[in-house]
Amino acid sequence: MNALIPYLVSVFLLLLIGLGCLMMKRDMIRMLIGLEILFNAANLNFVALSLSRAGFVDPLGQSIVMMAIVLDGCVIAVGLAMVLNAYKHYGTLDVRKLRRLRW
Amino acid sequence: MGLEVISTYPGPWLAWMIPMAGALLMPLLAKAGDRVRDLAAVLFAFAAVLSTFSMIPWLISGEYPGDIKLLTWIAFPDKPPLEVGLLVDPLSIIIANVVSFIAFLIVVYSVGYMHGDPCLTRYWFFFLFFIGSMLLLVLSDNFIMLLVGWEGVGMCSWGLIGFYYRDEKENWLGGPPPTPMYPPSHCGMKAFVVTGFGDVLLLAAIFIIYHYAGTFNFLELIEAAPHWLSAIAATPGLLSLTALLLLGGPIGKSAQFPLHEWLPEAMAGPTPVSALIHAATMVKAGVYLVARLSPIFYIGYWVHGIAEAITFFTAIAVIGAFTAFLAASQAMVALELKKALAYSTISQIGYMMLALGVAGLGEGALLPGLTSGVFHLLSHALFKAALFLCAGCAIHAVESIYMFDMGGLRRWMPITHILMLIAALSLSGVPPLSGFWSKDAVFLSCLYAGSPLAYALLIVAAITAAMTFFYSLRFISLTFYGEPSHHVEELEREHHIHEAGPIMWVPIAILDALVIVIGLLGLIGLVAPSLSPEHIIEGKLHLMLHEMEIPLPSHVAAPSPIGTISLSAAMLLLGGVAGYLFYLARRIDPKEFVESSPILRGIYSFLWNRWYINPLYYAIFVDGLLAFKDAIFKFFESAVVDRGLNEGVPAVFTGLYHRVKRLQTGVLSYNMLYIALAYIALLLTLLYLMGGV
Amino acid sequence: MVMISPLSASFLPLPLAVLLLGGGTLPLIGLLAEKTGLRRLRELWAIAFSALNLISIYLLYQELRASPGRVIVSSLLGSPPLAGCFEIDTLGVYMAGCVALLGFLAVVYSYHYMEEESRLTEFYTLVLLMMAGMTGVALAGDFFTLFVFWEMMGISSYVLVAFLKYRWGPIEAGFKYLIMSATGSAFLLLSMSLIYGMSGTLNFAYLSASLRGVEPSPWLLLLLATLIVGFGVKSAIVPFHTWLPDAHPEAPGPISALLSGIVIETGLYALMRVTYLTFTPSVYRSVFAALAVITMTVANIMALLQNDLKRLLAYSSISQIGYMLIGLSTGTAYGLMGSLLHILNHSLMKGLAFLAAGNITHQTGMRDIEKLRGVGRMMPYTMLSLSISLLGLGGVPATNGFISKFILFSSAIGAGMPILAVAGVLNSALSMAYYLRVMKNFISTPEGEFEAEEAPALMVAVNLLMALLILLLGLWPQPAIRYADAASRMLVEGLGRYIQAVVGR
Repeated sequence: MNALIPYLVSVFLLLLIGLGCLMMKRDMIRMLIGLEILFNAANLNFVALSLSRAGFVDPLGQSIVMMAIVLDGCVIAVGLAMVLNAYKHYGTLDVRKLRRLRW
Repeated sequence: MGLEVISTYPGPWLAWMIPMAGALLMPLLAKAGDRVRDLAAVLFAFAAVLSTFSMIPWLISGEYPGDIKLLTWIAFPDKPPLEVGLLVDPLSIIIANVVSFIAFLIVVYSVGYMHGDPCLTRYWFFFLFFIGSMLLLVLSDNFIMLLVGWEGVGMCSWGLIGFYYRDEKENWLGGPPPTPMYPPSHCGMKAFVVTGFGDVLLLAAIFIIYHYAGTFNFLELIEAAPHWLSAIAATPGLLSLTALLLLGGPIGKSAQFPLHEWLPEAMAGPTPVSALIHAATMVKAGVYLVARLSPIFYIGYWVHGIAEAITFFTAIAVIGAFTAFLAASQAMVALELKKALAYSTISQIGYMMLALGVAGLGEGALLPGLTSGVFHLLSHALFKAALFLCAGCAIHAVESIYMFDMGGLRRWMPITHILMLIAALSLSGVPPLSGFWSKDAVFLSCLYAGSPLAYALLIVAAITAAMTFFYSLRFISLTFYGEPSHHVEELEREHHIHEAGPIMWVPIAILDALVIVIGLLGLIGLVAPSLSPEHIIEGKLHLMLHEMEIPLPSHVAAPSPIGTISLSAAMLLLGGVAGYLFYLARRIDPKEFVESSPILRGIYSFLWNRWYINPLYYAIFVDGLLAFKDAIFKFFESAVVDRGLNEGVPAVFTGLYHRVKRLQTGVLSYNMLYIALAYIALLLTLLYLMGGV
Repeated sequence: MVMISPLSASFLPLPLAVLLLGGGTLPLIGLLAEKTGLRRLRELWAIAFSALNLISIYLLYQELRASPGRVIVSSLLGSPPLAGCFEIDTLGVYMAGCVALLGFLAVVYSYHYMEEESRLTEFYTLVLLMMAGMTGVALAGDFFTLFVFWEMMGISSYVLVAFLKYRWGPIEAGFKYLIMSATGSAFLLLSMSLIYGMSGTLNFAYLSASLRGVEPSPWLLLLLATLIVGFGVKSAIVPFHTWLPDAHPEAPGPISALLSGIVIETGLYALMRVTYLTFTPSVYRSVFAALAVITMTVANIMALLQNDLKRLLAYSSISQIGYMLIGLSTGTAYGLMGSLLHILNHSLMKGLAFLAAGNITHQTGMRDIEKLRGVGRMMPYTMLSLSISLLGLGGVPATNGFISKFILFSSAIGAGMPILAVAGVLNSALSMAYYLRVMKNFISTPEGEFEAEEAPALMVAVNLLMALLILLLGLWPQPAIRYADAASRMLVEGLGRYIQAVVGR
């Protein structure tokens, strides 16, 4: 368990940074990066916990990370496409300007 | 169980499904043209007749299906499920056939009578839906399906009474002024409300019974009767209350006192409607229900000694006899032809209710009472439908609903005259027509009951029989005999009054023929008992009661029929002489007779104002309610409720809305903030609740 | 009883295979359609495959019914717990059935609705893939599979929401939806990793065997919180719902119907499955109850004065999720049955409402309730179906909404949480306020300057069919109740069998 603590702390930090990015950044691309950080927090958790089995690495955890990376990549790709289209409509990458839909 | 039951027993199922399907298809068929639509209506009614006729072999052979179930409708936990099923036994087969056959004849009549009416599609819709609902009511095997049919006929009755809902002046009835006149829409609503009141009482009774018995199915209720009847009787007075509530439905639907005031107004509908619904079929629904339930209370009282079960019979017998008297007295002074027939219907149904009531007043009286009730139902349906259809011809020819506008029509409408005369004689109970035998059977069943109450009611019924003959002679002679009125002479000058077409009088002739045939069978039955209609019905009902395992006393002392026949004869004489003097021979002028003494004047106005019952109802329920409403509106609704609910509550919620909606800012960052905050809040809550920290 | 059968053998359950095949071949068909000029080929292909999907769900259901309590396990290339597997029980088939039904109806509806749009190949591919994703989530037997199909469902829905990209609305809504939903997926992944850390496996059955009944430690509670966030974003539980009022109105008509009708319910289903497998009711009862009340109330209040018809319906969806949460929080089979029944009923009712709204937007191009005053008189069949669906959503007797709400509230009382029932009833009354407002506005005398004709026959036919189903299920609920009952029992009483099916192999 002790060996895990640095990893778990990193995961927690990544979580904080990711959420903070999403909450506080204005730029849409930066939000996507924040999203990616959040995904990576989870991936890191997987990798860290797959190490916890004594002596060897559990393949299940690592294969999940592979799959998750692929899927996250797809999500980000779609997100970028949307950012592109949003730029076409709004002329800016500032997410706070995307306020026309409210209440 | 399952859909194959329809193919095994097609008759009962198709009998009600085909007319209902026909009703729903009417709007589509109307697009194909009027003739197609009318023909289709006739065919659907005929299909219903064929379906019900297919059940007659079961009646003859005595091997009938009984309870046939289609599917489970709602499954209750821990209780028997509610199933869709039909109860096919002699009682329902007989009444279903009466309904469908007469309905078919009246459909044919309607094609002629209502020809050219622009709203005929709506008419056929309600008419066919009525036939389907009525057959469903008669054939259903549990209370809930019966209620579906019950309400269905109520809806169709409303729709058809209020058929001329645009309230053109010529369709109003009542009067002549100063007596109020009512528009058809009002009459339809009145019928709906009054019968609806009875329906609510019925519903309450059904739920009380369900609470104690756990089932809605009739056969199961009869089987388990001792248990649940004694369970209800454990609370003193509850069983009597339940019996009275249960009777509320039939009293409303069959227009008995005190819920009888809707039927006279129901004459606002077209005459075929009056003939079918308000003479021959719907008003008999109550009689059917009472007949269906009487074995239950019979077992309760006579086999298991539950004292309060007799209330069912006492109440309906007294109400039936009283109503018969009440209505007959009103018929003696009616001025509209259809009103006289309406009062007559109420009175005759009183006889049926009396018969069913005394069926439980004596141990040996169940079978005679049931038989006479059913027999009188059958016989009355035939001659009353004939009477109404003839009245329709007369009214149509004279273009007025009042009898004082008629007179001497015998000259121009000989066929109608003969047909109506036969039916009227049967109504009065003149031998050897069917009415004589059925009325005699009712009297006889009072004697079977043997209790003092039964004898007293017999006296009342007998007096009513005298009145019946009197008013029958009255309306026949006012319409057909004597000098034609000014109105008639005018009409004859403008365009000759002529007989109705064959499409209209042939159905009436068929009905009258049946009246005569049944009467003759009754006559033959004096020497060959097995051919007498009463005996036949009795045999079938005996079989049915036997199948239900109702213990009937093996030896019943049959009272002598001489007594009742002589009583009938005496009453006929009494009524006949009076009728002859007043109307046939015009020896005594009714008007002068009434004016001659203040007592007679008082009685006349009492009867003319419908024993002041109708004005009383209007005063209490209509005017009183309206006054109450005004007071409530001023003091309660506007001041308290409006301010609180209509202004206060919306203000609260609108305020809430405007505050809460600001949370949906539209800024993505805030949305993420909500997620993060909610996550932390969730975590803290969970840790706090589970005490894990 | 575990058996590998032809329907579910060959490593993919049949419905899933059908949908993936359909979605996979549709681009080719689209190309074919372009080249040969048979313009309707795409639509017909999609309709055919969604119909096949419906049939295969039925076959699967029949197979399950053949022996009650049966669970079919099929795995992808290997055997659990090392490989992903599908565990097909009555509950999964129930959910997949709801997906299939609403999916089929929506695809038939899109035949006319989307005919003016471009890029239809992509549209139908995405719809089929979204349905495949949802079916996969419903039938999943472990987290791996669940996550893969969850993302498949999610990504397709992101693109579908933003489909009409030439307008600013869908893009803005789509972007917000993507960010929030992906955040949810990230939390889901995080919770998966926590589960993996705690029990070493991701398989539902093994998970249940190891984690259920354990004393709730802080880690377990952290797991629950993360799970709730992970699934809650997708199933629009307040306060994670903020994407929904933007996304559902901006999506094209049939997509809104699918989203509101079945996508958020799939999120709820996943939440249901995982929490019931992993935790005992005492752990999550109060939290779910609180979330239920908050969700219902906030959503109903927000819906009260909305002017945009589809936004109003979107808020109404959120509140209906609240009702389903009531059933979830009871922890009993009866309550769960209410939730499941409400999922079916809501998919029909809300689907119909959105499709009817789609009729209106298709014919008039407007969504504003005030401006659309009187449109019901010009489009009678649409109005009829809309009225039936709104009355059903409000829980009027004779509609199926009444039946499921009744079961939900009585289960709340039976489980000892009468406050939930009271809150539910009050919220039902509140929701009737805005439903009736919509109906009143539409049936009033038209005073606007617009003219509207009734929508094309196929769209109207779909609407009327759904309205008929709503009334039929309301008057004769027995078959649906039986089905939902069997499904709910799998999670509460049949848990042992479920676990046994995988662990005992």
